[in-house]
Amino acid sequence: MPPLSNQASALLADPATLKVVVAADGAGGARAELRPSLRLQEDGTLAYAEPFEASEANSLMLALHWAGKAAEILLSAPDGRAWRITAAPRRYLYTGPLFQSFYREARAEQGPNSQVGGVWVLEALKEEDAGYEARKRLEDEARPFYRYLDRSDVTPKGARA
Amino acid sequence: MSEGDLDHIEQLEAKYPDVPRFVLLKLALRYRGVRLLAPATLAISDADYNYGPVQVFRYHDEEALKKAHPGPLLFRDGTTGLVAFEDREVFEDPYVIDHEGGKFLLYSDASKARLVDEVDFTPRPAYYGKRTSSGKPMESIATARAQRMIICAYRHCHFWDTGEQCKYCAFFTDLNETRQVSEKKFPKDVEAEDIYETVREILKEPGRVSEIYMTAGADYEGEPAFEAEVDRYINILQAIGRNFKGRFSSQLMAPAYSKAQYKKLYERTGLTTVCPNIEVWDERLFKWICPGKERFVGRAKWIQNTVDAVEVFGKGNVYTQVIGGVELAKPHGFKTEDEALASNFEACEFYSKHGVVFVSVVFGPARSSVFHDQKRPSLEYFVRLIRGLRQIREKHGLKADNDDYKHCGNHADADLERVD
Repeated sequence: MPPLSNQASALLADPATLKVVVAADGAGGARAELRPSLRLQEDGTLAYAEPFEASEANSLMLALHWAGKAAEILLSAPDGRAWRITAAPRRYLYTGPLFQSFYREARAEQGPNSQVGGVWVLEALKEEDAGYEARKRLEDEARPFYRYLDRSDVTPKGARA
Repeated sequence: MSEGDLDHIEQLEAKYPDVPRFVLLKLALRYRGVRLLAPATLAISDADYNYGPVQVFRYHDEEALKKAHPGPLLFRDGTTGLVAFEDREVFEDPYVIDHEGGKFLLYSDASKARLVDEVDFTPRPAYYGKRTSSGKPMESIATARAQRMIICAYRHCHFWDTGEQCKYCAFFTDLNETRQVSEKKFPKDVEAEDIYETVREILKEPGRVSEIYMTAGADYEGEPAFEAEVDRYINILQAIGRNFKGRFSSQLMAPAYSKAQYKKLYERTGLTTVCPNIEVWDERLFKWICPGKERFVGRAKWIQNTVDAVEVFGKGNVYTQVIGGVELAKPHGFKTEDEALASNFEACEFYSKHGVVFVSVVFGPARSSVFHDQKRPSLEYFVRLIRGLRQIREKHGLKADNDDYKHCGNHADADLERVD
């Protein structure tokens, strides 16, 4: 996969961005968790701290890793920008320099009693603009008959409520 | 295809889809062995990786002491592998690890025809290379696994004195002399204060350990038997406990003590779990393979003491393990793998009903053990064993957290629980 887009990179770097990681089990179950530590690394991979070793989110991510499947990441900024990344877990670290950097970060932010189960490293496989306007453009192009007829791009101002 | 090679792994992967490839590889590397190619050996000599030569359950000959040795192997999913390196056991066609482009790469065999995966090794802990105030190298006091610190409190097993050691065991043995390492090389006793200081030092490294593990050679001195050993552990655990507030995540792998002795350990120290290993369940085989344990405790009492320990430490906080495969040792072992599995599952069912966590390891014929020339059962035997143990424990609501991939790394059955 080529490097992530500037939009995705900017959202990942913005501390105001909500970062949600979603892992599904393939049988109807899924777990979405806020993962504020998610960051883009120099080598282009994504990494975040999973706080709890025994969490359902962690088990599901591991199951995806074992099965060679991908998770979803949603980035959402207060100004309406949103981005979706499909990413495959490639590595789980609970020792070594990368783990320790996340552990130190967690302690700096949450205090000396904080916990980090491990660090997931993911490879982005695809990305897309998940903002409202971008999604609407796609929908309008692909399924034009769902558009309400009183929408401004269909009906002139004088004929609308 | 041969036993445990990559083709075989792929076949097992298709047959047992609930056992991930990483866990199959962990078993295969323990089974088939690993050779480090020269670039990998050089990379392991690096300060970030070199653990040094001291290992509790292996021999310590002069050549081994000169070499660099890595810590536990790490697969990409975090699975740890306590792999068997060629210089410690004999293998015909081991997997090989090379170092290319700054990465450790695992290959199917010496021809490097097939790349298996990228692997890594547990980094050398920051306390290695430091000394206690009495001048002892801290790595001689405690060795580290991924997140476990292992302290060997007494480096001599008295079962060896009379030739009654467990037949698979190479505890602190010296290959040159085929007996336990002499006092000159490794003093038997370890000072509690040195252990206290070493634990204090390791806590300075962020997130490095989540469990203190203690073991030692068996010392049956005292009245009742093992009383001196229990008092030694209490002394050391109290010293370690000065580092913590109240109880601390810890495990003691030692003989099956009486309930009174367990109470004393629990009440006077911060110990959380104990692990009196049964090693082999079948009564006849236990007496043959573990003669010292049979003589100084006895199988029936060993089992009863283990069950009684649950009353002291609580359900799920008492462990026991089998050395998977020794139950088929010749000439007295089971004749078929099905019989051997049935015995292990019976044991797991029994212990689980009583709240004891029953785990397995893969038998490795260590060169200085009585069983050095024993053959192991098929690799599939171990796959069936770990699947069965996981299912039985799950039925009884037990998890092997204290002996999982982060802490011990030797129990593939515990690895399977990671997605439960």
